[in-house]
Amino acid sequence: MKKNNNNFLNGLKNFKFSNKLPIWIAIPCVIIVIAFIVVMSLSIIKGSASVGFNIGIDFDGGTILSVTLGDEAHSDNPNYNTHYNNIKSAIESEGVSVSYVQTASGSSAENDVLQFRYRNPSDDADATFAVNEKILAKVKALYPSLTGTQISYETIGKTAASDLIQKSAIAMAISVVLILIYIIFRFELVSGITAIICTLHDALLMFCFTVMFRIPINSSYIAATITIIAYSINNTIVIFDRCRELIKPVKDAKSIKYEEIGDNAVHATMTRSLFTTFTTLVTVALLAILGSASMREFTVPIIIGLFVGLYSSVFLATPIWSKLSYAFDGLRLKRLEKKAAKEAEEGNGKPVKKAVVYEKSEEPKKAKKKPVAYINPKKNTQFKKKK
Amino acid sequence: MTRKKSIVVLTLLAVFIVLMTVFAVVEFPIGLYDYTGYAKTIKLGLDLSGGVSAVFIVDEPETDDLQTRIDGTVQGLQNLLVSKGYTESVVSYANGKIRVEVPDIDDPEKVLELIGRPQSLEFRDGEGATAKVLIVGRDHIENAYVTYDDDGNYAVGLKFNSEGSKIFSEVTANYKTIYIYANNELYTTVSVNSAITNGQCIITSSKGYTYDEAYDFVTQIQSGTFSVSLVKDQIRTISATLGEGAIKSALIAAAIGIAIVFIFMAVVYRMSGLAADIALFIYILLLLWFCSVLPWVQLTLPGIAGIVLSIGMAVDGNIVIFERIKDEFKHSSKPVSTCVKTGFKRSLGAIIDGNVTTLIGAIVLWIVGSASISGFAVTLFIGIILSMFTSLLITRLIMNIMLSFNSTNAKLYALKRSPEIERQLSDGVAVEEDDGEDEGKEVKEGDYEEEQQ
Repeated sequence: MKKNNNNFLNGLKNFKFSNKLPIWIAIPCVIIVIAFIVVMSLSIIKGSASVGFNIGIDFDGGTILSVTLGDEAHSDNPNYNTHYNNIKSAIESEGVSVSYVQTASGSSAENDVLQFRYRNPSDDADATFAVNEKILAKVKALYPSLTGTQISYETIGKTAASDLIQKSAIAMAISVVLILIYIIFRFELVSGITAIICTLHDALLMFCFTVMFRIPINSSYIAATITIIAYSINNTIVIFDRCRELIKPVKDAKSIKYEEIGDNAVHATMTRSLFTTFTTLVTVALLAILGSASMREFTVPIIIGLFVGLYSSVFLATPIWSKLSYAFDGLRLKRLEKKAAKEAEEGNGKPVKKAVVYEKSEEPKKAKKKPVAYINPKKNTQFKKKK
Repeated sequence: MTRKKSIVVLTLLAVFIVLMTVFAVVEFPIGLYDYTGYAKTIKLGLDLSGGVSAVFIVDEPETDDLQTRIDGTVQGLQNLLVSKGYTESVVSYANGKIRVEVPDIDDPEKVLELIGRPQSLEFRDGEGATAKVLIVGRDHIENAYVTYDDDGNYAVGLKFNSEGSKIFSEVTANYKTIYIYANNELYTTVSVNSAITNGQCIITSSKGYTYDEAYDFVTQIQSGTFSVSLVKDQIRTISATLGEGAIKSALIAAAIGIAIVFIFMAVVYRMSGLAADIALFIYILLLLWFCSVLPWVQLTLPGIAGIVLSIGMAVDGNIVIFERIKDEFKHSSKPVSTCVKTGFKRSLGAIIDGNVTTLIGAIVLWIVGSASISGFAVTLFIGIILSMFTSLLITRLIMNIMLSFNSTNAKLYALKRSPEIERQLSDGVAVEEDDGEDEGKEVKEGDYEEEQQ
């Protein structure tokens, strides 16, 4: 077992992540397309976009059905589960799903009620009214002894602050800009851009999976997204920290093998990436397993987010970083050339600097022992071989 | 660190841990008060602990702007509750009823206390029925707050909205005495010295306010500024939306999860892992303490996830450091203590950068986000600061203590030399020191030859 494990880790250690960037980008794209198809078709079938996305009760409002059960409305009563299941299945047989069940108690115990909250089945008020009446009739049939207002329903408004999404989006946008500035300041521009791409990828993919698994998008989901964004950017930073360190000694070289630096940084931090994901996953997974169904609505997106974050930091971060670094070097070179040409034209007598056009690194050399050369050997002036 | 010093520090740490653990759960009387363990006084949100739900009927004739006024009232109620530390309360409106749900209280009367029995505030130009109403609280006052007057006594500050400011500056220019009426009774009279144009004023009481009196009046004015009148319909206590056992199962899951992480660290990193476990334990105690004392924190399921995440980041800090130490040891012939030192030094950058980016996000959310997200951001913020503190300082301290007892047995710290270095060491060959900084510099020939083979 241990040996297998080692083989697996060794396999990972020699794996070239940078060569297969198109594949790493294609996988998330496919998922996004599938999620889009799922949402579109459901929205069209049900005739409502908020059903397609499965928007939660706290954004859309819904209905609250109260059944007066007295003592038996409390979960420590032996009959509680029977009532709970009977009423819940009566409601859900009409095609709506119950979001929350809670006990409400007043001054006298015999008036205690069990309340079921569910999202309105449609945007149309008449259709909702019809469904609610059907549900009411079904539940009344279950409890013929209860009369009048002892079984009743009422509409509830949206409970999430109306500006929740808007404010969160603004906060997200500001954070992205500030984080970008920080990373540019501490690393460089390319790392900053890549880190932001990875973060957006995580949020987007997490959203796609959540929609595909038909998990309601509610205010806890917003919190889950923020959690994952915070977590995943940390993953990416740890890898870029390695890149920063590996690139330091060769920084002024004319041609740097970015993809090798990237791969080595990923390999060097691989154990850490796996261990960290595992230790965080354990607790969240236990919350999902031991908690109630409504708890799962929150923990499952986080679990998805942890995997998505691992994926982006290992498979996307450094390959994109190296590609972008090449592109930026190319741009810088062109700018230098232009400048040189301009100066030559003006003919101000200064010695004209000639920009060196260099080719991309060749097939990466065999894994080397230290010191690892991240410099394209052709231009390499630092390792002089003596005969 | 000398052995003697280590023992002293270790004892202090042990005493701290034991005391913090005990104070987290015990209950005992101190003088007039009862002390309740801080872990038990953490406020919980509607999803974990339930609370009180109050329904009010909107008692207003149908007008064109009714919906706007209702929306304003819903927002006003929400803000009022948030300002009192109930960041997780929920106010919603549907079909002529406003539903207010306040978490973590079990006395229905408390809701009325919190949102106040609305006071209508009016500024008039004289006494009696003929007096002209100059300013109406709910139309012209934007906010009320507790403040001090020039003599340092408590006073109630009022801030007018733009229309209110304009009228107020006209009023203060034209009248010498203003009569302030609360609920149609004369509350106080003010003499005006000069026109006030900045839209703010303070009300003092002739007897002088205590803080509580001023605060009560502020609450009453705030709820008096709601632009619809509300009639109490029904008030009930409600159970947790995640089910009555929600908090219990969440705690069990968290406990098992943390235990697994502790065991994992101790197995993989041995003594180092143990040091991390102690640091993590201190981290969790401090986090719980902060959650219970900070007024904005009302723990909900997302809040718990924020904590789990920050625990994850605290563990991550340790893993980054230990992997680094492992690397240092593997590729050099340096002794354990030096590797530990360089390991901490080299991982500093990664840990600080990773945490600072998360911190930036948390601070922005704290400032910009709506109430419930703000509460979550505060939890995250504290968690990250503490996680940096424990992984960079506490783990290091404990590692140093351990090293002062045994710094030769590498196995104890789960460290291993690479076979190559091992061979060179046993051959007695001096190993090329690799401290990272000389990579890429002129490299000795011998090394390069070896590479060629």
